[in-house]
Amino acid sequence: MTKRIIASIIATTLFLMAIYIVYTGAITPMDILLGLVGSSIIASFTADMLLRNPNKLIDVRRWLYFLAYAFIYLTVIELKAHLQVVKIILHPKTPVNPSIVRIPYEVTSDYAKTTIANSITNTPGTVVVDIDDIRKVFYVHWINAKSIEDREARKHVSSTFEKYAKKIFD
Amino acid sequence: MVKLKDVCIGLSLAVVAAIVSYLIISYNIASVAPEANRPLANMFLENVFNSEKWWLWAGSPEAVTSILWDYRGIDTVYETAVFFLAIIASIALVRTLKLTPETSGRGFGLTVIAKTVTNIVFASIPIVAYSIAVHGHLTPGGGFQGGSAFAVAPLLAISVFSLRVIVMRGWSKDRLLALRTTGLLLIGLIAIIVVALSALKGIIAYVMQNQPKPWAPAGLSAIVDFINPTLISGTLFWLNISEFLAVGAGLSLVFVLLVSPTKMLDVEVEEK
Repeated sequence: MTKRIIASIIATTLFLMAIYIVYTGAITPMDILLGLVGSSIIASFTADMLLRNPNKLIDVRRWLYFLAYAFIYLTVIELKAHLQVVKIILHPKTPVNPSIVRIPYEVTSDYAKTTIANSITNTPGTVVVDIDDIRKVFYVHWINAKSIEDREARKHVSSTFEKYAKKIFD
Repeated sequence: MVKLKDVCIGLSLAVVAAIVSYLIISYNIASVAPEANRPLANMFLENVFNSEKWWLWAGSPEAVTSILWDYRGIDTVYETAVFFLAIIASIALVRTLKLTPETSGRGFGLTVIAKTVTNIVFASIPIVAYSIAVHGHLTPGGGFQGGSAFAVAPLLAISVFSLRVIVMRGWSKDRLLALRTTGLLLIGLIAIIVVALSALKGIIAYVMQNQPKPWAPAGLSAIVDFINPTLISGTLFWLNISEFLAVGAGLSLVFVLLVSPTKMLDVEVEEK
């Protein structure tokens, strides 16, 4: 138990230290000393909010999936979604079919849910409106709904996101 | 459809704005900032980090921090004291309020998505605020700015997680007030530390003195040796950290008190 808390605090300290260095823009010995003091104090208060299972952090496979997902998401998936919306905007008839659909999910950790939700919201055309933790569904506004049936909609909207989120965080 | 009335209102507003700005600029109705620095500004810029004129320098390249904590340092100490008294007064107004997890609402908060993102931001805001404070003698910022940035964290947490969660995590009235008082005490201590140290050597020094003067050769060193020689600008660094503590805790306390439900107040008053 205590071992896990210490690991969480160390990991959070490193994370905060990275933010500190990027924000400060200097790495003199004094900056590093002050940064370590500050980040460890703040980490000791916030580590339990950020990390519940620090062992997941040292799993290399999760990091590889994370990098792969970041790459695919920021290039292919975003480009596709943008092009679709550009097509809708430029089309003279504006072919939209706006509706709010239910998208079920099967992941359990908060980080995985948030990753899926933010991935859906960040791609143009779909916005997560609400989440129902008990029924395990997102309510998603979809500008051009191809299906309003749960499973079918999930295939179009979030199946790739969920596949990666599960491997990275669950 | 755009109505004729709206078009007329918009056009007349634009015309009025154009005429007023033309008049202000062309006829010197309001003064426009000159491009050249004023003599006072040049005086500060020349002396603030000029070690050749060591009797006038503040030991910090950040002119605003130097003016705040060195040239007019006592003014800032009183200003902090006024802010402290304002917070004491606002606490006195709600002195019947008791912040306990049981009395501070149901604590549902927003969705898990908002909470997860806020967890990360809630940890990141204090470290950025801290960096603003500890580099106040080098870059724009300082204790007050850092403290204000810090107070965004509890404000965000209250609106996303709920007041109850914040209270359960130990952000109590007494603890925040204790931190606030510690910050103010530290400022008071730093204000007299140069006087105390030089009195031991039999030298006369000023309250809130930072760098030595020819007639009062006392002060904290502007540069310390930590692996490399590092500029900490004497007292400015310590004053910024103390002010960070005082303002951060003070503003957080005010936010926590402001969002407390009035129901809590009423119940306590009735019991008395």
